[in-house]
Amino acid sequence: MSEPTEFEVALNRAGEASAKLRESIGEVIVGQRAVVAQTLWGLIAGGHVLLEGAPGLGKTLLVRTLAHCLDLEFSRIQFTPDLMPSDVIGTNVLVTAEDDSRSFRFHKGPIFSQLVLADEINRATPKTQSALLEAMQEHACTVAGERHAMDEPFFVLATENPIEMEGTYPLPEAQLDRFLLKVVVDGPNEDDMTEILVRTTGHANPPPDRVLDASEVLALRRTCRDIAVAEPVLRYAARLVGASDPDNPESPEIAQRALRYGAGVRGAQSLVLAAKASALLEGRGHVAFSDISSVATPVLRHRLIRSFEGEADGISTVDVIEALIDAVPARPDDVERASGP
Amino acid sequence: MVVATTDERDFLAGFHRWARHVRAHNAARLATSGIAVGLVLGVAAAAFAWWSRSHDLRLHSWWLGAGGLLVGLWIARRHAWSDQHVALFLDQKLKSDEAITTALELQQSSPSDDGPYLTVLRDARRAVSSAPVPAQLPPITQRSHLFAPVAGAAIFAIGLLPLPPAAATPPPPPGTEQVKLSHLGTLDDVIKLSQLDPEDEAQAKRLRELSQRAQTLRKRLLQGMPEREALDEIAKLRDAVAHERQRLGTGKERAGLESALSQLRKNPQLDAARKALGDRDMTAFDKKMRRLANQLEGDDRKRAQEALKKAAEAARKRGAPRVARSLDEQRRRLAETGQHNDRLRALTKAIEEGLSEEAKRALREMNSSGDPEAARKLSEAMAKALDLLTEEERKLLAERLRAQAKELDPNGGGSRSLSEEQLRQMAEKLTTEEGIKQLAQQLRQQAKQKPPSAEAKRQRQLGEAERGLGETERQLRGGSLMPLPGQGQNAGGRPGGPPAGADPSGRPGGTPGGGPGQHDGSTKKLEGDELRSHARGPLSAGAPNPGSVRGRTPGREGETANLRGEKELGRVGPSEVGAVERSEVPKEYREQVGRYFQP
Repeated sequence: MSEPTEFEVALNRAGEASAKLRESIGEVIVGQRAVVAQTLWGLIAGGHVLLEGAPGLGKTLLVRTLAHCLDLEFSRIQFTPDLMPSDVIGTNVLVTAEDDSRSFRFHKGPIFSQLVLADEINRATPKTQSALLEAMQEHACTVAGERHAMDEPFFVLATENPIEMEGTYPLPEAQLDRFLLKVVVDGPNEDDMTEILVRTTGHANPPPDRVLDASEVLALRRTCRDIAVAEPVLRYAARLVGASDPDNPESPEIAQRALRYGAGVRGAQSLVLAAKASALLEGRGHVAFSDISSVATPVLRHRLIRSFEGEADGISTVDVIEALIDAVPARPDDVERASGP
Repeated sequence: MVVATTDERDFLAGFHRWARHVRAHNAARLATSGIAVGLVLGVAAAAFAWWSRSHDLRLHSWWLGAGGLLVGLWIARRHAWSDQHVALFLDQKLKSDEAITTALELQQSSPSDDGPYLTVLRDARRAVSSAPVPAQLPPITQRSHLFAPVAGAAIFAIGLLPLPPAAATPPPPPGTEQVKLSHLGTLDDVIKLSQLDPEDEAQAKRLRELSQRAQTLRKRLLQGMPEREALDEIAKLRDAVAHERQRLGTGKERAGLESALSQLRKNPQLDAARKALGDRDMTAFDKKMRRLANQLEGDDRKRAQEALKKAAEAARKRGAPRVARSLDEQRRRLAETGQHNDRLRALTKAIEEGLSEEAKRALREMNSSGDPEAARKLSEAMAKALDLLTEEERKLLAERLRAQAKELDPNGGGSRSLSEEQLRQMAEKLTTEEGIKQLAQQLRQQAKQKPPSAEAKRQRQLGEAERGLGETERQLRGGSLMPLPGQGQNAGGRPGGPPAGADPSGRPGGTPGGGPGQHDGSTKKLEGDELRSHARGPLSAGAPNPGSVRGRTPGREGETANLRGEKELGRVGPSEVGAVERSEVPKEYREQVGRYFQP
């Protein structure tokens, strides 16, 4: 048995860390394994995650639990219609020194944390939303001509409620694109619900142990970037994204009919990054076709813009993504034929 | 750069082992597909061969299967999977999550130590470490390969099927069918034209060319050739031969011939011969002249000779030397024959009561019609009579000849062409045994048929050649042609030729002449030994065709004609008279229209 390489060591550590993390989160969050996994993909891939679900499904709890498990600076911003950008980013305040001299000093807002929970993000005005999204994209924000960088790792988890549309400001498509993943939180099944009832109607449980610190998260991210991707896998991702373009003659009929815009280059990048994170959590040093197809739904669902016909026919973006996965072959045709069903 | 490790070597060895098997299976599958496709095509080919009644082609349909095999192998070689394709296939079959593909790609792209290469490589090595299992390899057979045995069985079954009845083939276009003749003696006369005594070198060349063409035609007909071509060539040859036969007096010689005919027209006794010469029928001309030689006596013959001489001079003067030579030859033959006949007549007059009935009849016939056959019979009868003469009869005959000599005008007058001296010489011959024999010999010699003139001989042989071509054409058409004169099957060989054992000089289909029976009171024997139709043109030469109008007979001044015309105009149809008046031409224009048609 040869000596493990550095990459293998990092890979093993990543595997152990993710396992611990899932275990710790699982102590608080009942079920929702896919949601947890997808959230971890975002964390490891270095992207931000938008959690969408009905109220009371544990979105906020998930993020709070994750913040507990990670030894990261955490802040929560409750988005409301009257929330101002400065309430998010911070502002310059006039400070009087002991010698009575006065100067402006930047007072950092809650965005200057490593793990930020943007709760009910769609309740804030677009102006405030855009302030947050700029920081998400740039990992920095500029106030009064001065650039203020975020501490790494910088990870934003936003939640939104799809039910109450009254008094909300849906995120523009261009801004949705900034989120690596859009995770839909479904309701628990009967077993999970029972377990939730057991856990939440008794005495409060102690918070979970801290599993990872900032440096370990950054190491995970570096390892994620090292994951190898073969050229056919990259081409598959490219074909998948290309097929989402309704103007592409080779895209499936449902995409041409139900979509107005497909995913762009950022979508393909996100697809590969998320696939790498998926592979890393699987303990693999390379990306498989299955990684691409498994991350396709959370990565692409908020990047596809439906046409009027798609909306009228009730065709969801998930339907289209599933059609894309079915229609776009991962391997060359002759290999697919020889491989059989 | 990572040094090749055991993992890498193991991976590459394992991968290539798998790759060989994968590619071999692919090749086998494509080859089998090729066989199936080839056999399916073979079924189509066999069915087509069966339909087209080609038994051999039906049996060779199996080769399409072999051809399909080769094509399949060629495609397998040309489209053999690359390593990446093989790796992708193995990743799917071995469920290695693209570890093999990734490892292979990293291995070929200078991987670094700290990267994921070794990790991926180990995963890939583990995947390919097992031995290839057929179930994990590309399938050699597929559902479509079932066509191969089915198609093979179909080819076999088609091979056993009885061929369908031959469809009625449409008749070939007229004239395109091949004709082949095994007996082509009919062309011999054309081929022999090269041996004909030519008039000049140019004719010799033409005759050789005709002979050569006839030989080529015979060769092709023996081998088989399209009917249309054969008939075309025969027609051309016939035209060429006919043109050659009628060449005398044509072209530059035409004026000379016309001059000669004008001279001959002055002597009515030469009318028949003149017509034959005008028709350029030298055979007929020869015969007519022979009859005249038998028929004419004394001054008549001299006038005929004179007319022939003038005609020859006129022809020579107007640039027709061949016509002139023919006329000169006829003049010479006329003189020779006339002298012989005079001698014959003198003898018959002297012998008188000693003549047989047959000789008397021949004499009458010769004097009346100039029949050469009668002259021949008379000569033979006379020779025979001379042989049988007794001593007293010879003396009596000599006396009578001397008496005839005395009766002759000493100044050479009278109608006889024999001189007194000639009669006396004949009388002297009769006095000796040897003289009588010599005279009888001369008579028998004269009785023999004289050879025709050179031009007549050429025309005759050319005519034979023309008839031979006609006979060949008739054979090609399956006997649908109108029979040629004298044609008929006989044992003598060529159709229409003389019967076996008959005199070869006889004409086709005819007896040598005369016939065995009595001809008195019967229809006269036709002149000539062949029948030729001569186009005489309209009955009223120079007259317009009935129904046509040459002009308009003028009536009174300023009026349209309404009277039946004179001469040619009188021959027009009755309906043409007054036609303008009866027509729909308005009255005011009738005068103008009538004037337009006025000659």
